[in-house]
Amino acid sequence: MRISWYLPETGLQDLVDSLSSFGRLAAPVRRGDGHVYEFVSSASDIDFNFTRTKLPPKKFLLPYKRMVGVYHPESMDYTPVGNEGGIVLLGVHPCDLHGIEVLARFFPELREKAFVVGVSCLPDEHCFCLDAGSAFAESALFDLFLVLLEGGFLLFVGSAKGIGVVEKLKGLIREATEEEIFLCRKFLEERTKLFRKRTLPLAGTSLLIEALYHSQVWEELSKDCLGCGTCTNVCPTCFCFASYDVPDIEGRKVKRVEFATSCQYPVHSLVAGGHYFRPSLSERFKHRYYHKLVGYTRQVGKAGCVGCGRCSFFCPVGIRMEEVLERLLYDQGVNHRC
Amino acid sequence: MIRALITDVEVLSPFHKRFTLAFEPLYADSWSHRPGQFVMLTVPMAGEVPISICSSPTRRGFVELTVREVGRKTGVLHRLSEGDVVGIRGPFGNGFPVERFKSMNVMLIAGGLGMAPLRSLLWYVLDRRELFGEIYLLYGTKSYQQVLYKDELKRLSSRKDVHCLFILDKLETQEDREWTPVEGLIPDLIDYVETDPERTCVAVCGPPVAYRFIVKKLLQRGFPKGNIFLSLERRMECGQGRCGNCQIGYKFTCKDGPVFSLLEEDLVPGML
Repeated sequence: MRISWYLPETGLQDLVDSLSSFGRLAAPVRRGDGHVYEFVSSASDIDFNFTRTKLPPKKFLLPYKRMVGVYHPESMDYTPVGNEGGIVLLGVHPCDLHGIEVLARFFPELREKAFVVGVSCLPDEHCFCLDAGSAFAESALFDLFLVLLEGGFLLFVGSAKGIGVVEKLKGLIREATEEEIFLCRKFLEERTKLFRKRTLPLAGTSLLIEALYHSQVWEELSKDCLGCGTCTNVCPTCFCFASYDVPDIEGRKVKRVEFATSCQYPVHSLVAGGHYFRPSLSERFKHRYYHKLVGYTRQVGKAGCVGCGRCSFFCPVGIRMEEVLERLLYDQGVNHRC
Repeated sequence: MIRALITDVEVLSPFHKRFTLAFEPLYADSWSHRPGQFVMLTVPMAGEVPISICSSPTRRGFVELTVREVGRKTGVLHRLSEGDVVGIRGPFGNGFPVERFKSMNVMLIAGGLGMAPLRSLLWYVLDRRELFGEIYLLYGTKSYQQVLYKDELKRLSSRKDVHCLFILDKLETQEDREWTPVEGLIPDLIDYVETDPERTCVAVCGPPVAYRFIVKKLLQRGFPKGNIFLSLERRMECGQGRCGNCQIGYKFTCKDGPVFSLLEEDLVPGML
């Protein structure tokens, strides 16, 4: 049962305090001309007025560089580390909620680790979550969800843990009125109008990507790509990692460290002896689209693209995911532009 | 990760060594694997590498790994000797569908270090000899120097119940010519085998570039796709379908493979 509550703006600090029992709290903070997720303790540092953060919340769930274990080189006793202590993510947009859901299907331990509070958002020209099916929080995992209203938040509960928090805030929050729920509906309606008018049939596109896997079209599509890996680094669902061992100076303890890698780098497909399975840039470019839209669906039953628009927004040469897909469709004579 | 003791190191060629590992009793009793599976081997202080198991599960109590010295981690491993310890995770992967091979002829096609995973299968079918029809071993290397398990294979060549066919890229030395009279690449060897393709299961493991040519020749000879099984190699960092490096199409080589039926080629782009 999902019940809606109203939390006045002044109650945000109390919410922050009550969430601290679940772990360290990270929230969007303004930095320079953009926003980033950072650990905060004061509600006044949080800024919900953002379109997208530079890095997705996965930076806390699967840190880009993380120690995963320690072993002793003589006994080979291995102790996993890094899973102790929870994390609270406050202010996650619906697309990133879906991103967390996708990651959690590959890494089930993340479900236990994170307490997630979603927040409503407004799209810009790079967002296509509405087409990707991740514009709403309902079908993703979340514990609480906030809709920003004038002077306060409409608060939705998404899990048993979320109910517990609401119980703790009983004196501060009240059940939402009919009018507040109406305002929320109104907000969502207005939000829908802000999305780009063209729709992109992502499901159909995934079939095309499979059908065109051996086509020459990818050479053309990837001709501007630098292979820098920015798209995979800012992606909320990319998870590829490499691992290495770091001995301490006396050689008594060895740390095992995993770090994020990218399928856009040649080394991703390099094996011992020097063979590259994806030697060309166009193959690596194609692999990303294939994995996002075909691979994830087959592997975990949910597409790997949540339409957050980060890869398009941060691409140094302006390659846009939705444009690439549109061109794929267009080349096949599918004109879906209305 | 469990601790394993190196009980024997055999030099197979200037670049290859075979490490025999033993586990502590607790693990030794519970260890089992299928031919074609691999382990994640931790070389203390250097890191973890995926290595296929070259011993057959029919020989219990130890695990053998054949490793070529090719990089930093395998370089450190090659400096270890009897009495040193390593870490093992696994076994991982699906392995060869040996049940499917039952009462069929079995053809093993190995190129270079591809002999290592196939040795596991080879001894499996030899130790369960009564379950299978004719057994063919096709093995190609650059030169005699690079041939793995030389003595073992020489003994096998004299056995009547297994047909061994060897090929070398070039016959240059006397040793080369004593090893085999056949010169050429591994697909050429397939022409020397007289067998009913419909009644023969084929297991292939070789260097990445060889698969396309081997498969082409097999299909020309009329082997059904469903009878051809390929053990594939990809970069692996975890062995559990998490690191993402080993993907072929939507499949994880470590979890869904490393053995793939050739039938999967149509569904899984980029396999060969």
